[in-house]
Amino acid sequence: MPRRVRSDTPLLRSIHFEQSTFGVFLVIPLIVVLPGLLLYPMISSVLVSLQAKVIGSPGRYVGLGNYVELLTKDRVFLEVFVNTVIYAVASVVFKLILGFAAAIFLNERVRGQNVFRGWILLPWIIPTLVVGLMFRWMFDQTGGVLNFLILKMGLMKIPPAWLAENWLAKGAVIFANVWRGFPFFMITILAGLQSISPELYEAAAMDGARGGQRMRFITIPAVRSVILVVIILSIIWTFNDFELLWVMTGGGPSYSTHIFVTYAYQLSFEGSRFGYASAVSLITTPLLVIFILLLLPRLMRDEE
Amino acid sequence: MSIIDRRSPAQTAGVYVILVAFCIFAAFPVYWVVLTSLKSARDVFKTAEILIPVRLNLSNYATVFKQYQIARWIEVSTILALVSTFFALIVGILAGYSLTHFRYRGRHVLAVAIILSYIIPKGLLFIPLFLVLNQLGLVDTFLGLVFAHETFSVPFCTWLLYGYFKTLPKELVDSGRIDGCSPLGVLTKILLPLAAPSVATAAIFAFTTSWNEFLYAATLITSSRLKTLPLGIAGFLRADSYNWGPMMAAAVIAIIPMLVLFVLLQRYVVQGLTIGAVKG
Repeated sequence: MPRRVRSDTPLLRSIHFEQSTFGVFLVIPLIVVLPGLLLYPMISSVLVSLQAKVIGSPGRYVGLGNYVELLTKDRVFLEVFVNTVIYAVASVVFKLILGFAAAIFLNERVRGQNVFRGWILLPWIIPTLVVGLMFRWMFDQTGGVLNFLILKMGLMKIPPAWLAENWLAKGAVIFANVWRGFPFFMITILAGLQSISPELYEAAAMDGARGGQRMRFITIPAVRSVILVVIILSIIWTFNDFELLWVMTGGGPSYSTHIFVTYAYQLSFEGSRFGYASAVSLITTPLLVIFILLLLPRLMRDEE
Repeated sequence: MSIIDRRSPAQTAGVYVILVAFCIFAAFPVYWVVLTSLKSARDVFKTAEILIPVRLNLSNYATVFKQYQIARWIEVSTILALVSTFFALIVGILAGYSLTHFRYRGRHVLAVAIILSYIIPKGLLFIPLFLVLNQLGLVDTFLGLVFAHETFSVPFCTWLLYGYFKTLPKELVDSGRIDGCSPLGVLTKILLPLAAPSVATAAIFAFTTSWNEFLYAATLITSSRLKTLPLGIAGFLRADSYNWGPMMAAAVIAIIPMLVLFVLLQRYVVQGLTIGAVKG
């Protein structure tokens, strides 16, 4: 139905009013989904963490009992905490180094740049669960390719059981995580690099800046913000890397590759301690809040 | 623009060598998995031929289809990914349009809420989501799985499309209105055709994430007729001795659709990957 609008008439206001109502109408599905599927579960998670909860019976309120037990009595929790930090920090550092290096070289003028870029992205498109199985098989003591190469090259007489020893297993899962995750760093940093204006480099070259100086004074400052966002997102994801660890080691040997999320899964779905498990997963919330506060202004930058 | 100025031939060669090294690093595990999947059970552990393709056959693939319900897992995963992507797109398109082209109270709060919901990790969500769906009697149902998948599909699609709609000028909507389009007509006739590439990006990502999802399937699904492909594949690990050949065949089957999507639609995938960190 056609309408003519002059900007100073009451009619305009009525159209805006009608439009706004319609706008609210459009957003209703989102308003149903966000609280229903995210907010309500999060609140109930906090409530459950204050209970001794088993499936099938109502929980018994224990106050901060779960948290107290977690922080004072649970030896495993301490180990899991240390594992999580090692896993996240080591993985993210290596992903950053590899991703940054790959991005720098891809940003050089090379033939077949798109082919290289697509090829190096390959690990990112493999389902994480499959990545876990893949590396479990590669690190297999008797049939795995790694030990085959070690034997073939005569590096060791008896190659190690990678996934059965504490620190070797830690290294193996970190390696798998790095393999799977570095392409994300590569592609985002590359996008950041490509947004740098060529004139900046030309001007710098004219002023006699060498490669290293250009890297330090143009490239790094230009992609610093992108890198920060990628690092934070990656830390959050690495903290929650359930699939990879669960199929690769199941958290073992002993608890040496358990992180918060796998430990919480084991406590809840294998041990049926839902209240305690909720406390385990919620204990990371303060850290998450800090990350979110760092991220929000960067992700919302183009808001008014 | 390059860091190195006036590359010498040696430097150029160096750049290619390093890029090829990255490619080998990225592809080798995949090569190894494909190779394993094509070996007969006798050859899988024969290390002498471990890297060289000899006596390849498709017997593992036949085994997977005959002895396991992989056809059913594929069916469940495909329908699940399509359904959850479809709903997430509808919610995302409507909300993205609404938040960027209408004025009402609380829309800024909603915009922040979308980002927060995107960042909230699965690790925090999987226990309470199970408890909530359990209360609703939706554990071990297809609907329950769809709900679980919307927790990541909806925030991603909405955020991505919100970001895109924000770049479209208000004048587009105004002129459409003046030409007699209804508010919904403006969306379907003017904005959506323009947003098609972004919608494609959102769809690919939602579909891929659903297809790959394992944690929610593992917590919610117990009956075999509702097993998703990742859940079914993880089941290969339960046996005492692992059948690496069939397991890797199943893994390859899970990879193939992703590979096809990626090769055909690489541009959209790259766009979706970088949107979080680079946009704005």
